[in-house]
Amino acid sequence: MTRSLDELGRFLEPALLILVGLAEGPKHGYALMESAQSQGVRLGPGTLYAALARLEGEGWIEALESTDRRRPYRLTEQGRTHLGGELARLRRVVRTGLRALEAT
Amino acid sequence: MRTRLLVRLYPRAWRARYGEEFAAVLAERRLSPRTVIDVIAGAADAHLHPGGWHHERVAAKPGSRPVMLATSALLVPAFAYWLAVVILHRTVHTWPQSAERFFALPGLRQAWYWGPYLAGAIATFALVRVRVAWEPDGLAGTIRIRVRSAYVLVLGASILIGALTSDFRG
Repeated sequence: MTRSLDELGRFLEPALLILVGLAEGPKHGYALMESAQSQGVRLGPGTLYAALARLEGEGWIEALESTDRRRPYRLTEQGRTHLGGELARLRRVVRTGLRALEAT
Repeated sequence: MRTRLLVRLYPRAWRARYGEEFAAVLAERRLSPRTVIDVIAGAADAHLHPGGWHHERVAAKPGSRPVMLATSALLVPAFAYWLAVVILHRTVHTWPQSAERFFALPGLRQAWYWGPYLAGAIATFALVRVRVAWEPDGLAGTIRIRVRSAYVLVLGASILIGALTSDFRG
């Protein structure tokens, strides 16, 4: 049984930022924090790893072999599907919100 | 040094899996108060949601560890404290004639009863959670805890209800 992204509760946004970061290609923890920062969100290491561990537990990301202490992660097919679904949902929210704002 | 201390806040099993890379991330970053708070919160989360990193789907089922542990944590100190109060009160003061009055809980509605009880509940909860978080065998640990919690739940609830009704009658 697999869960949906919004079941991650307060880790939804960090998880989404991680998945978006990994959609560009494999990244290690620090690179994921920088990727989130480029989206305007400061992700702390504690929050990052809490979300990262949950995503790995769900099988949406997987760890790659590391050459040093920094272990890179990549998006799995399952993760890609979930990310696509979540982004489509967000697009609907954005479209509805913008339409409502334009109408008032 | 500070990095190592922060990593040590996490459960052992978590450290075995993520410790080294987490330390590498911390080493690349200035340890501001905000970062330290974030790490402490992350460590608390890892202790409170051990399944978050390897068997959350088992733990998240209704009636499993979080619910049962919380219930146990409330009932175990209640039982222990009730027993201590009953024995002490009855020993120091009067020795009642009937068994029913012996088991009546003195001072249940007074504030002094609830202070130590709440402290005991929090301490028990913390101890049990930490122990479970460090259990290496997730599923087996979960089953053991379920059985233990169900036993404590039944025992504690019956004693507590008995004590409450005795008190209100007496």
